[in-house]
Amino acid sequence: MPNANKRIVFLIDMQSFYASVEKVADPALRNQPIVVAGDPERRSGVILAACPIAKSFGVVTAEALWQAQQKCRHLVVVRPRMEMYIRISLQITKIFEAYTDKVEPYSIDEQFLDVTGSVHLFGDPIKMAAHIRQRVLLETGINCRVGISENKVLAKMACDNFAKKQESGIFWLKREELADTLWKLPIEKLFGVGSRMKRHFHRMGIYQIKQLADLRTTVLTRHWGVNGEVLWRTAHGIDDSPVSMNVYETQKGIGHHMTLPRDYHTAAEIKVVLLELCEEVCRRARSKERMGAVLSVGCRGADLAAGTGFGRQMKLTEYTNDVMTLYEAACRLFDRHWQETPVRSIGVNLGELVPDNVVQLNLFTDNQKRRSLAHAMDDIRERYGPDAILRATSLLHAGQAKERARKIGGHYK
Amino acid sequence: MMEPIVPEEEGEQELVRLYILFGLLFRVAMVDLGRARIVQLKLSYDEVFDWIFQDLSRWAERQHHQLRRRLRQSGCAVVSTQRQGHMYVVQYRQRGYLREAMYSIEVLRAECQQLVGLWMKHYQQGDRTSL
Repeated sequence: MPNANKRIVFLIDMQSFYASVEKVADPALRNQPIVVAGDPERRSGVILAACPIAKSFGVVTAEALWQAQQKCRHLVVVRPRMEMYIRISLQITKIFEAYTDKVEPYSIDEQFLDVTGSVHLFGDPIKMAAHIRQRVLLETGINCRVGISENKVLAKMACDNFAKKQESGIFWLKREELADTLWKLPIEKLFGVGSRMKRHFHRMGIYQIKQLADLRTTVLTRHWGVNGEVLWRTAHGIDDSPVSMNVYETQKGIGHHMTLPRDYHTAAEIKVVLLELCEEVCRRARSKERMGAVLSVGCRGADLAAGTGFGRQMKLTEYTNDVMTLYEAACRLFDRHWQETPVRSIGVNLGELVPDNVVQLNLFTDNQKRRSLAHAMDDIRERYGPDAILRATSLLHAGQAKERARKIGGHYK
Repeated sequence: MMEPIVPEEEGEQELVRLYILFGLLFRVAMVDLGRARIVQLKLSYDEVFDWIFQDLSRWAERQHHQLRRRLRQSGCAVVSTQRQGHMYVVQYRQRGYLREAMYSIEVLRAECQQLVGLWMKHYQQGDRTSL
C-alpha cells in the first residue's frame, strides 16, 4: 500500500507518437517501417518520429532522412500533419481528465498525472495505469508507457529508463529502492544530463548516478551553481513541483526561429525574414496582452563546422509589442553583429514581459494609431488565416510568410 | 471453420468499440451505395453495387446486433453517441456506472476499412457460415 503522505504521479509517454498516429490512420502502413519526416528540399528533412519496425533497422529520431534511407531501403516516408497530432494529443488529455483533474501536458506526447486522489478507485497504481493504457489504445490506437513514482522527476525517469523496456509498459520507481534501480544506471540516464554534461562528469570521474548521489552538494554547486544542486536532488529523487496546468502561465519570453530553405547572403534578404519574425513575435505578444523590453536576435551561419553566426540581445528604450519598433531595433543589432557570412537560420525573441495595459505616451509618434492598426491586422489574420494579410516584402523571393502560414512549429499542418 | 469475428473472452471496452464500428459500417455502406448509384459509367452496375453494399451492410448489422446482445448480457448498454469535432463520443452504462469513450474519427475510419477487408477475405474464402 502506498504511504498516505506520498503523492502518486504518472508520466505517460506515447510510443513513436507521430508514426503511431499515421499507422492508425492508414492500415496499409501497419506492417511497414515508416518515418515521419519533413521535406529535405526545404531543409526540414530530419526524422521526427520512427515506428518500432523502422527503429529495428537502426533508424533513430532526429537523424537526416538520407541517413535513415541508407539504413532501411524500403523505408516509407510520411509527411507530418501537425494539426492532427495536436488534435489527438488533446483527445488523450481528455481521456486522462476522466481519471484525475490534475493533468499537466509536458510535451505533445508526454503528460503528467497526479492520481493520488483517485487511485483507490482502481485498487492500486499498476491496475490504474493498465486501465489507462488499455483505454488510450482502444480509443486512439496508440500504445503508451507509464512511469509511476511519488514526484514528476522520478516518474519521468521511471518511464524513460524502465517502463519503455518492460513488456507491460509500466514501471513503478520507488524512492526507497533507488540504490537498486536508478543509481545503477550510467550518469547520462539522469534527467537533465545531456552529452556536454556527461563529458563534464566523465572528466570528474563520475560515470554512474550513484557516484553523483554520493557527492556533497557543495562540490556540485561550486561547478554549476544552483543547477548542480538540482542535479543532486534529481539523483536523490527529490522534487516538490506540483502537477498543474498553471506551470506555463508565467511566460518569460516570446520567440520565433526559422531555418531558411537556402542560405541567405545579403542583408536585404535576411531583413525580409527578420521583419516576418518580428511580425510573428509581436502578434503573439499582443494576443497574450504582453509587451517586452529585451530583444534577442540570433543568426546561425551556413558553415556549421566553423560555428559562424551570433546571438545578441539589447534593452529597448521602452516596453513594446509594435512590429516596426522591434524591427528597427532588430536591424540595429543585426547590422552591428552580422559579419556578412551566409545565414542558415535566424531567430527573434522578446523578453522581460509586462502586461500591455499601461503604455508610455510619446509626443512624437502616434502609438494609439499603431496599436489600432496592429489589432486590426491581428483580427483579419485570426478570421481568415495567417497569410490573409501580408507585408509587401513577404512577396519577394526571400519572403517565407506564405510558406510558414502552412506550417505549425516548422512542420506542415 | 474460421475464427469468430469477436472473440468470446473480449472485455466490455473492446465490445463497445466493436459495437460502434459495426454500427457505423452498416450505415456507411448504405450511404456509399447511394453515392455509387449516381456515378455515371459506360454500363449499368446497379445490381452489382446493390448486392455488394447490401450484403456488407447486412453482415455488419448482424454483427452489431449480436454485439448488442452480448453487451446486454454483461450488464452494459450504449446510452448515447455523438460526434464532437474530430471525436466520436460514446456514453455507455456498465453495471450502473455511466462511462465515456472518445474515439478519434481517423481511427474509426481506418478500423471500418479493416472490417471491409475482413468481410472481403471471408467472402472470397466462401465461408458464408461465419458471416
